[in-house]
Amino acid sequence: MISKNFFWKQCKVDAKRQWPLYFISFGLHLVTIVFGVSMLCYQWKTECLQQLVDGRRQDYLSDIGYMVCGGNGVLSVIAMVLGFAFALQAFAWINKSSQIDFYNALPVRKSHRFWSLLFTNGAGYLSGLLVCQALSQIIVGINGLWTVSVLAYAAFGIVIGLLIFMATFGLTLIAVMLTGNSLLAFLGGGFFLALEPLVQFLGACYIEGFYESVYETAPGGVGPPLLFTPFAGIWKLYRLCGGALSRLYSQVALMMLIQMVVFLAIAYWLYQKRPALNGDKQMIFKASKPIIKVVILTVMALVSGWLIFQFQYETPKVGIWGVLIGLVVMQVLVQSLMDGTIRHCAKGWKSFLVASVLSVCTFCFFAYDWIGFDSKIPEREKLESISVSINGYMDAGGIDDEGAYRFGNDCTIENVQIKDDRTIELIREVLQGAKDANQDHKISRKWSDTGEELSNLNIKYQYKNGHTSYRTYRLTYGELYKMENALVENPDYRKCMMNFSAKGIQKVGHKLRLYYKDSIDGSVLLSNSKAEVIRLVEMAEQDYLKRDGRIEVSQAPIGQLELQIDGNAADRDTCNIIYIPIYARDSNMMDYLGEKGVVSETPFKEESVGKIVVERNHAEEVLTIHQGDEWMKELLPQLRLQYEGESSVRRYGYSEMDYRVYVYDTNGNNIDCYIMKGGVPKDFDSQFVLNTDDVTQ
Amino acid sequence: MIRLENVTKCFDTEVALDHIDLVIPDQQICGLLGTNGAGKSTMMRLICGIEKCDEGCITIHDCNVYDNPVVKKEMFFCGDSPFYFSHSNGMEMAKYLEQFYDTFRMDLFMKWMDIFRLDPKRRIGTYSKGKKKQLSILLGLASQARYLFCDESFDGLDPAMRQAVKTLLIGEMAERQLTVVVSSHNLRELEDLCDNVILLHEGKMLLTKELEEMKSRLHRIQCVFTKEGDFETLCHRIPVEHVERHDTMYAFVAHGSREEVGEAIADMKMAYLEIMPLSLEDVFIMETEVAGYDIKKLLLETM
Repeated sequence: MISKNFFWKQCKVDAKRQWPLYFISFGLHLVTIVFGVSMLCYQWKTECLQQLVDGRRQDYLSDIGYMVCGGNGVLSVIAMVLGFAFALQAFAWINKSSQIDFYNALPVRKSHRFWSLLFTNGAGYLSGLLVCQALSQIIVGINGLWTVSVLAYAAFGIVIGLLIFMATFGLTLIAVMLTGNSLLAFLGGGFFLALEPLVQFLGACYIEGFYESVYETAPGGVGPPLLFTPFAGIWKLYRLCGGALSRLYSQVALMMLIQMVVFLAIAYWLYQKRPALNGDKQMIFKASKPIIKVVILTVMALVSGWLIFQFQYETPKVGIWGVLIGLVVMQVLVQSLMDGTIRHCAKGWKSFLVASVLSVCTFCFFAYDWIGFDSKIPEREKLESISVSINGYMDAGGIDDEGAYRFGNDCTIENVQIKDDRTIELIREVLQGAKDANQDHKISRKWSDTGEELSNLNIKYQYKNGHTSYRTYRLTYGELYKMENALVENPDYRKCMMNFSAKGIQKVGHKLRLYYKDSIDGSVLLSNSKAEVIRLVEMAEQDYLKRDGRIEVSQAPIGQLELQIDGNAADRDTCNIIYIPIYARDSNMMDYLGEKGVVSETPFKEESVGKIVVERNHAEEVLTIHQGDEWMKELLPQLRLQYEGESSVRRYGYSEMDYRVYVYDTNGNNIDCYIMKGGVPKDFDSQFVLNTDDVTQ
Repeated sequence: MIRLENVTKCFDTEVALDHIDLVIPDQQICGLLGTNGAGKSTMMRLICGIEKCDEGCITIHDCNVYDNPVVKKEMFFCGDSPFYFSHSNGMEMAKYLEQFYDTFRMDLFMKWMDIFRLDPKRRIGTYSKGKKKQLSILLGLASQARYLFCDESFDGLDPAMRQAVKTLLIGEMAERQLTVVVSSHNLRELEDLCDNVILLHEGKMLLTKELEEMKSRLHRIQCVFTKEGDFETLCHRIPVEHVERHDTMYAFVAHGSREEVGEAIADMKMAYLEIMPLSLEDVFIMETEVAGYDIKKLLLETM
């Protein structure tokens, strides 16, 4: 009973001493929550007066919910800043001998002092937040916008704010317990907070910078994930803001709760171990000093190495010098800070040596690809399947783990699964050939490594043991051609290429619009009715499944559907755009477009075109087609999308040579010029020209 | 009764207290003496439970002190530079401590503040160093703790205030069985105040004795023997140390009561004899010299 009473007494007296910080907490929350909610309510009232509120109530409720919950990034940052400041202030006494004597001599258990300070500071933070949340609820209620969801968001904001505050508090306390004065505690706390984002950033820089074959959009991103600091929670909140409450709660709250428990447990353990009489020590625990020093030196040396590597034209040897410079500078700085005098800047050579070895080895590990990351081709027997996506060939859309609609290579690669031995072997052979052809034995080359034009090939290896790995290789077109025919015939590949399915769209789209675009008619709205758009997309799907794979590589589309999707599960304000190429042989879609009068036969009326001249490589005239020639009808539709700026019509099936197509009217005037990026379809080159005996050449 | 058993405390490689065994009896004023860095403050902090000892244990009435609020309620520590909250006054500090010490007597505190002419509502930051120490002692006494530890709290007090504090301490000892442990470099002051002394040097305890007994059993003797061999005879009769000889003049410290010393020299003829009691300062210098803290020698060497 005595201990319990002492605990509350301690809380009471500590609370009395720390009211200025509570006041600051209250002020910050007042400005962010109450002021923000008041502004929203004021806007709502204004719109009510102007009778503009039809259908807007839900928007306002969402905005208010966002404002009062932890999804409001400002609130999370405030929780973190206050956690840092409260911890430094609450435990500042631990580094002042007169205060240690005073507090430790009081008849209070040491543990009670720790927990009472924790409790009073948490309560202090919470009191400001609670009052402001209550005020905002009252303001919302007065303005007639209150709902249970607003209250639920506020409750969530309180819980998540407290967890972020406590996690930051605990992490800062670890720094306070390890160091012997306020300056070092401040610097140490800042370093601990920044360490994980810094390592994450550094990891991403090194992996993306040194590994040519890294697949940057692999799930989880490049570099280590953010997990161990309160930034992780804030980052998650930022990404999930506006999403479902349950998702926010389960992910962020659990993560922050674990962090809070772990950090506070470590801080408490150090508090119990910490000697009361530190004798003006800069670092309290002798054992922690070299460890912390090695971490700081290694991380900062790698930062320095990376920066100098970047500034000096990506030369690894210069990068190593950068690492060494960073090591020396940080040795002087850190050792001086840890010993409290610059005269000791050369001490601690063992830790310096360890940091040097670690940082130089880490730099070389990435810079010289010690594990052969860029040249690795998994053995066939270990592979379950391979997913392939050729950049620009055909993108696909899908819903990611966080409910966002995505469209691009990353969706394709997640949907394709090639399992047949023949195709897998073929892909491996192509990659092995590319590897053998490269002097550095890398499959993924830099653009400057070869005179040929390169294109990205994204691969996801799925292993039999359940693991997956992602790679992006840069192959020449010649290397790509070797595998493309096999790919387009592969049923697994084809099936997955068209996964912008109507079902997926139905799930995520709030509003849908479908346009038809081509070079002649521009953009035409086909429909903005959700049901109609889904019907048309289904129609396009059917056309796609009927296509022969080869057509796609040998024939240019005549136009494309542009599907605009407003909103998705993660962000209702976003607008996703998906392009669906339409080929002349897509019978369903062509019939529909013809009925609509959207697609005309040719870009120009055939009778108005006098002749078409095709030049190759800017000079060599390939052929001239005159009015009345049979080939005029064949060529004109294919020209429709070969205009500059429409990247979606570029295909690898084209020959490497550039073609220019000049269109003349009947009077001989040049009325248009097409630059056919990457050349004309290869069938055009091989069949069209060779079989045109009747065409004047 | 405070008992220290085999207490050792180290700071990194430095041994602040080295296997100390000690008993401090109740209802006494115990003086803690020692050279600079001898471990006086460390010992006080260990006894008050501010710090944990590396080895051994410290008990009060057989209860461990460290992290034991029940025992610590019976102790009050007055540091050499007492801590007060910034912008606080004496009254606020008293109210703060009242939260922790159930026995705190606000009425006595106010009375003593009045006697010592300290304004309880004046900011402590404006107090002089001496007044801050006075306030610390008054707070300690008002807490009614049974053990009061004063780490150089008397240094900096003017003679009048020192006397007043002493009177107050003696009054409290008589009234409520207070035990005081006081450390100071002012040996003259401790000599008047203490019942017994503990002498520390380089983390080791050189002696612990009741002051009166110690003083009554140590005598500085200066004499000139008229007969050759008398001094050697004397050395066989009573313990003698710190012998200095200048021609025929002997100066030494003899152990034993005044009567025992008188008997030992009764049959010896001397041209000159002077027997003086040892001051605490003499004892301090003598004992620390034995332990290798010979300041005079150090000075001579440096000169």
